[in-house]
Amino acid sequence: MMQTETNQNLLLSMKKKNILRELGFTPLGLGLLILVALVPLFIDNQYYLHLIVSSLMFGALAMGFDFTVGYINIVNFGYAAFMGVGGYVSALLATRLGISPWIGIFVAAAAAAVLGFLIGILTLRLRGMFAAIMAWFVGIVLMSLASNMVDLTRGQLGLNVPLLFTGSGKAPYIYTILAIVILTYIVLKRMISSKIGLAFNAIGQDLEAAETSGVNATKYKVLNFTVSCAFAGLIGGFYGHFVGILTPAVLHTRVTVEILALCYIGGRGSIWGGLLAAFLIIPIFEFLRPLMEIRLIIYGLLLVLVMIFYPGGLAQFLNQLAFYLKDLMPFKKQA
Amino acid sequence: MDLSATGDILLSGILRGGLFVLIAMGLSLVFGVMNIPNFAHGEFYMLGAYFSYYAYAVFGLNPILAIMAAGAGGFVCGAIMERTAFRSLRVRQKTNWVMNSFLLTVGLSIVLQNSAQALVGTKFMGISQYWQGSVAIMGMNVSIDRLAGFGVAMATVLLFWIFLTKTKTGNSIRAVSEDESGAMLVGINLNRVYTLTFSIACMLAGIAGAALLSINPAYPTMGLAPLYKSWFIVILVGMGNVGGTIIGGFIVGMVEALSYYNLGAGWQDVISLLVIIIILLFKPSGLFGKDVKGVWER
Amino acid sequence: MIRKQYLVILLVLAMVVNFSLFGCGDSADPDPAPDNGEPVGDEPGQVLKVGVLGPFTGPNSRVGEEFIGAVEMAFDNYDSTIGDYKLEIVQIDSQSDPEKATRAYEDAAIRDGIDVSILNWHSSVAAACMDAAARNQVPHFFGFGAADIVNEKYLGDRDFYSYWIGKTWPTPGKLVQAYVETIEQAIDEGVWEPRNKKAAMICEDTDWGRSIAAALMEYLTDAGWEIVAEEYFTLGETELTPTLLAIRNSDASLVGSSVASAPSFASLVKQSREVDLQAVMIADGLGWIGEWYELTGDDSNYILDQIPQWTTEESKQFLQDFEDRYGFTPSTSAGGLAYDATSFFLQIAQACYDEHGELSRETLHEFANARVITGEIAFDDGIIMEQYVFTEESIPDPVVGEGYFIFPVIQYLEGEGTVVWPDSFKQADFVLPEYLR
Repeated sequence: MMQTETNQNLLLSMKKKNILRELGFTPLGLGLLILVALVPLFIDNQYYLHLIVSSLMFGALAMGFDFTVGYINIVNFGYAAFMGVGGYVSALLATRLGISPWIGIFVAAAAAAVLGFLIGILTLRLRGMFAAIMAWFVGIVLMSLASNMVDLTRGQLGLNVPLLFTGSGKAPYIYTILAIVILTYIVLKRMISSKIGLAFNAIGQDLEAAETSGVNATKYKVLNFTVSCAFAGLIGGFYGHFVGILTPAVLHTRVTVEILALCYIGGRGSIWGGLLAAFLIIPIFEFLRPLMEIRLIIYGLLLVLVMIFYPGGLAQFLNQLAFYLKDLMPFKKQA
Repeated sequence: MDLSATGDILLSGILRGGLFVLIAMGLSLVFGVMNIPNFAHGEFYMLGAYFSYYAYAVFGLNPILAIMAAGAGGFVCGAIMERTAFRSLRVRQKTNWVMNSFLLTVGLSIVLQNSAQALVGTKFMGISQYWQGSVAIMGMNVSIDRLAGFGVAMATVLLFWIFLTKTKTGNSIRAVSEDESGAMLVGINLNRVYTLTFSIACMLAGIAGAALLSINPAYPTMGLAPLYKSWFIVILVGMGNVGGTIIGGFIVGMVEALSYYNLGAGWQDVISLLVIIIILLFKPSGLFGKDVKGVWER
Repeated sequence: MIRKQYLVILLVLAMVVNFSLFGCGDSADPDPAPDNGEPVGDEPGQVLKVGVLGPFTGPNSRVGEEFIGAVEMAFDNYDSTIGDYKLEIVQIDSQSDPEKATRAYEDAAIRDGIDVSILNWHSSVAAACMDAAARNQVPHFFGFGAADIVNEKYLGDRDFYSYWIGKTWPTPGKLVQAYVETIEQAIDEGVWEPRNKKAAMICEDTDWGRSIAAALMEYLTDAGWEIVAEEYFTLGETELTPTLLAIRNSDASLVGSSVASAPSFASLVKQSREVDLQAVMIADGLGWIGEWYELTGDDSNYILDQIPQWTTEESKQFLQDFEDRYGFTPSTSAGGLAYDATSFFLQIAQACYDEHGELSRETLHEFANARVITGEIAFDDGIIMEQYVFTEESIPDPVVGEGYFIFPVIQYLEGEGTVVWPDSFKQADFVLPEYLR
């Protein structure tokens, strides 16, 4: 309930506000992104910059994942596979045909979208859990194709991928992935705040009711799935050109679970929650590295506890915090 | 394909399928009765393998006892898991149960896998065989070990089936799976049935892990492959159809044996997916699925 | 209200960013590492920080444990000192994942300020970390990552990747010729009269399995064998009877296999006896699995494998010392070869210090490219191989062959491996399996 309330609030406020608002940004949200953009100017530590790229990358993936799970309530359990497909498409275009990665990553997005569309029309007619499991199967099959089609992908040998920027540091990567994050956020937010978004919400909350009131549920579900997969492909394309090597392991269920955990801990149905969670969890777990396996046990427990006791995740926590703060500081309202 | 090979493949498919049945049954049961799409099912298979390794190779129990110990271990772990995690979730979350419980099991699977790794490390704990020797069936040598594993699986499935259809407790489990509120009205204690169901499912997975110990040594991440197979069977026959998994398991065993033989290893996942896509195109509820919509539809 | 929510979010995020950028990482290291990648340790009495890259967590953490043990023991021989420099180990955890490994490497290069790094296990990690090493200009010595992808990348841009110095382990294909020689020798000597010259491959679908199969098929074809079947199965598959049946029906009298995962390999060995495969079996890498005999039992009899052994006195001594100190048995690879690679590195560091009077990223990089990869400096005190040396032709692989880097061919019988090739190490003759007699 909480979520829909805030979503509607968001919707209302957006109608009133300026262009930035229409794009889904508050001035403060934008300020934050500018802050991230300024980081490379002051910090020359490549490790921290890499950490920021990782966080942005997984945050973007979590946003795309949330678009499906948080709105039409379908877990795309093969999400990492769509990302991997994007990675391989862009990498192969660059290595085989010499096409620039800058074009390649958009072709990658298109390829993942087409694949998502095909799988969508096949599975989204089915019940929610079927779709999730089918997406998972497709992911597993894509992974086994990636390792079996040796002539194309070099299989487990790994595919060397040309980097986006050679020689220089990570700063240009930050700007690239930041642009992707902003693009992802704007597109997803725009769709959610439009009429389409209302249909998504209706389907996610009560499929039957939505269908009786004349919403073509399958159409909207396929649309949602396709868009979400397109972003997975786009980010996957970036991933390949950032890391420099692709192996079928990128498509593994494990990676999907990582994205899923970020999305859930961040809070479903918020879009920005996953990004925030990525910025929290990835650095924290990086510093917990000496704990070895214990770290992953904590990770799993966190997911379990969030699921049981706080399903709204970080997003709900912050929303509630904002309410309390409002109560504590009534004078601010006048000012 | 010559005739002798046909016999071999048939036999190999049956042996393979029998163990699939045992693993998939628990998954199907939990889904049918509790509406939990269990992603941690493979982890109970792993626990079973560890339990039987310790029972057999460390404490020197007789193979049958070791397998039973693994089943008991799975039962207890399942009960603990149900009482702590799923019951808490059930109390707190009324809506969207299927998806939420699914994600809960994802978390549990991470916890169980990494706990195993932290506790016993990544060493492979396996045995070469429970029983020595081999016999010739249809011109093919089959180790007694594999036959016994198959036998254990079939005996367990049979006992479980009798329990489900002939006992009062079994009947109440079935009643809950068919009509939850109706079952509650006639005085069935839902919480008790849930705990029992989940524990039995984990027990079945544990027995499967134990019976296969000589083929699959115990290690922390061993659960993913059987999980995938079980899900495949469950989708194939229709979700929550416990009886159908018996046939489904053998079908999948045969399909895989055939695709292995004819196309070579590595392609069986692709073939299996094609089969399932074709079936879902014509019969979206699965081979034996009822077209009645359940709560898990959303 | 919305505005305030975002204010809070902004605050929290700013805190997070702050935390991740300036937070606890630096508190552990009061004197922050230089940002521009300048090495620490120009003055005498300084510390040489040696990064050890390996999978310390995740599915291959055992390898990491052995790495650290081997490195510590090699360092002890030098009392962890070279000239004025005190050696310090910095663990770089690859987690068996190229992206995470790059992150960890950058961390070590920048925050810990390592001067040099050594070892590494996976090829995919090598391919990713080569870039990180080059970007940060940290010389990296003797990573294991054997697959061809590393060679390809290195040879593609030797200038840029000149920081990736030599591999401990040559491309796997270079080693497997020994099997063909063993078998041809057995045929020449009349020990085995094969019913045909048909061979089949059954390998796990990994970089390793594919490289071994490709190389083995090439050498076998050259020796007049016909390849009648070639099968690859998914990582971790344990039900192999259908595939083995197909191979049996192809009537191959020689079967080559290479698998990395223990359950698959054990199943392959056991099930090949179950389907009664009438062939000489090559199982490349079976012995790398510590528990192989526990898993396969006597079904592993007569199988050929290629594994370095603890044969020399020094190697037995190392094995003993390692067990006493760490309480577990190291493998000849992650333990023995890593020990040799580290010792070789230390010899180089010593020589570099003698020449330049200084150990730094620059001097080590320059010295290695001038003296090591040209074959000027070789390492003869290894416990596993006779000599480790690189030449212009071999680089990035070490020179392979008798007297250099070579794995002996061994045959298993009741859980024991005996060397059957080459003649210089030979402990016994090749024995024909009883089912082929």
